[in-house]
Amino acid sequence: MGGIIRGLVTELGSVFIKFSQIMGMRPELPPFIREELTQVQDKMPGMPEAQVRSTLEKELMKPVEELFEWIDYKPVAAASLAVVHHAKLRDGREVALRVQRPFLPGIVALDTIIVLRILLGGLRLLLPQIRKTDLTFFTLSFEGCIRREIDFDLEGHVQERCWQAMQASQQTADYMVIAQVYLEYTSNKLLTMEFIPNLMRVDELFEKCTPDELWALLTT
Amino acid sequence: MRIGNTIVSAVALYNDGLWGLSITYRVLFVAWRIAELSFIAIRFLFLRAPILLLWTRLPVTKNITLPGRYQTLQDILDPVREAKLNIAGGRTGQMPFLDAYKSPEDVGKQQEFLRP
Repeated sequence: MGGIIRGLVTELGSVFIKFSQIMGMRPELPPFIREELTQVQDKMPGMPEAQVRSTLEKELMKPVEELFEWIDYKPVAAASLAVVHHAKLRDGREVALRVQRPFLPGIVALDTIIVLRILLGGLRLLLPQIRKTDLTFFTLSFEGCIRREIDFDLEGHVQERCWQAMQASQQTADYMVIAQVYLEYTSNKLLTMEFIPNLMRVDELFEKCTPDELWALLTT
Repeated sequence: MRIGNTIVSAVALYNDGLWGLSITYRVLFVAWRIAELSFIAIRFLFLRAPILLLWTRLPVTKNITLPGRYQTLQDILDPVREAKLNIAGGRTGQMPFLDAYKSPEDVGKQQEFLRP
């Protein structure tokens, strides 16, 4: 049963995945529903090569060949909102390209209406536990969070400020890794940042390596 | 409101027909999306899920990895992966015994998350 609920949420898309992850943390919900919702993963399949190319060309306003030496169209990671590809710029820098899925702002706008006004309203009628809860704050924060999350330009600027703060403080630079954002290659739908090798294998490496070895793998 | 050199009242700009059109436009989009989501849900519940439940359990097919989106669903519905998620009275990625915590100090004393 758990697999069916998780599979259904995955099929319905990004807003439902985010909603399930948040609802999974709400104590008002019965434990059996909460348990299943917390298990919803946002591991998704990648995007077709043509789609990635067209998004890159549209966002950077230049042909892909002119900007990149190569792009690995096999995704490094694929989540509900974006897909990450490894690429090399013409100036020799290796980058991680976070490409947003197509039509996401429209889908998010429609799905938040459906999820928050229709589905949550229905859930309120069905579950007595949440009938007396004021959901206004939750509705507003969910809507705001997801809209900010799909604005990669904003995310890029915030990450850039974090990176600058880390560079300024030698103390944090000794134990923190933040990827540098390349704002000249960043837009609302594309986030270009420094490629950190082995980052996607951190969980696996965490079990096998000492902290010093892990640090060396991430920073060299 | 100022348009060029003329000051115009906002009431004068209100047009019932345009407002109605804007509402209809949004209602149509939401209705279309609800129909699309219903189709996706029905297709999953009555077609993809039963096929994948069989696929992940039949001895002949259970070791064959499916391509694309089906691979994600295969991972979710695979009974072996499902069993691996259950360890030490909880599931991986989850804070175990959440209901037993009464204060932030209680949470602080526990292991952060169960790890595989």
